[in-house]
Amino acid sequence: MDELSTRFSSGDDTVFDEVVNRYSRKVYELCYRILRNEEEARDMAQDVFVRVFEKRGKFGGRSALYTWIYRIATNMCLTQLKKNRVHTVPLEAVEGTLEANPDSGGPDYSGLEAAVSNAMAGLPPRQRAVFAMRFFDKMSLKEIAEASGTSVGAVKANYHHAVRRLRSILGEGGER
Amino acid sequence: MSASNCIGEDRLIDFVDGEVAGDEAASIERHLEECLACRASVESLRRVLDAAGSDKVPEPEPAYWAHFARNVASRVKSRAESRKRRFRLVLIPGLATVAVCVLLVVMFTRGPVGPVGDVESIIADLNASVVTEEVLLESGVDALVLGQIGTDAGLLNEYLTETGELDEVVGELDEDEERALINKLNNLMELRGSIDSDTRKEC
Repeated sequence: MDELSTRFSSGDDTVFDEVVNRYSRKVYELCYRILRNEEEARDMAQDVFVRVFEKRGKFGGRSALYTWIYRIATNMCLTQLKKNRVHTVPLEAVEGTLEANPDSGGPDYSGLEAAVSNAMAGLPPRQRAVFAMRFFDKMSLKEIAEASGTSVGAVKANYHHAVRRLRSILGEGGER
Repeated sequence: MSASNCIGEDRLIDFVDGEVAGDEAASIERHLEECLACRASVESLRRVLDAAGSDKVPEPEPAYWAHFARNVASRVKSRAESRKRRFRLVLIPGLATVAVCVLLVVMFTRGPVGPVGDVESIIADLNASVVTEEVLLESGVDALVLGQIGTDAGLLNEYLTETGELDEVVGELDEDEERALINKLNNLMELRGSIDSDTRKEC
């Protein structure tokens, strides 16, 4: 456990601002990648730290501080999406977003950002969360399992499904 | 590994992801040299993951980050005050109703209740075991409680199901709030006492 985690777990409230400063950007990014809505993500990131503050007595230091914070963030985002009841864009609405390039015959990546953004929105929320932690945050399967409250096997399965689904949505074959 | 013995997609994803090492990685690389289908699959997966890397997170205004910690602190304070108001507006009437239910149960199972001094011990019992989320949600008492507090029922229910901390709530009542609860119980006991007295006179 690093010094920040040790101080946080010992109930040192003076460390909270430091925790916010260190992890706020990462938490905002994770929230956005799960919620796919900038305004909700901005709001949610702050609410995550409110919850972190309220639950600080329950951080026992058994996992890393950031995986504990990520777990709170993931749970809150997934709960928010359940409340919104708009989880994913139907596959049919986004698949084949990368149209074939008439010159090369391969996928046309000129509208790449929009296509990828649509593809991400087409993933089920939990797969979005796992993919974000694995691909963008480079977390290990074990860390993701801790942060998402599931097993390593489930994380791996979610990651595989996410990649296959992205492949399909982006017109590269894969699962349907 | 022969060309006819193709590698499963999940394992290829692991391979592209750098999760496969040592002899198995070397074996997959040899297979890819001779298997067009698996090689195409790996190239496709790499293109997909390269594309995924272009997924951008919108950057909030600088003011958002500048005020982030202050806004969190403000929300913490606001939620603490809101929680305190909930205790006063919702949970005290709710707890009083639960206390009434407990008293009724005591009266029906043990006969008339004892002197007024028993109130504090009843509250102690409430703290210890009676007022729990489980009791409220499973015993049917909750329906009475929620019915009594009317429009605030949803709020109480949300609080109970979200936090599961009702048993801690009693402990968080301040002296005045606990005194208010005791007064309600005292009034009830006196009312019960006068009913008993009238009943005896009629007999």
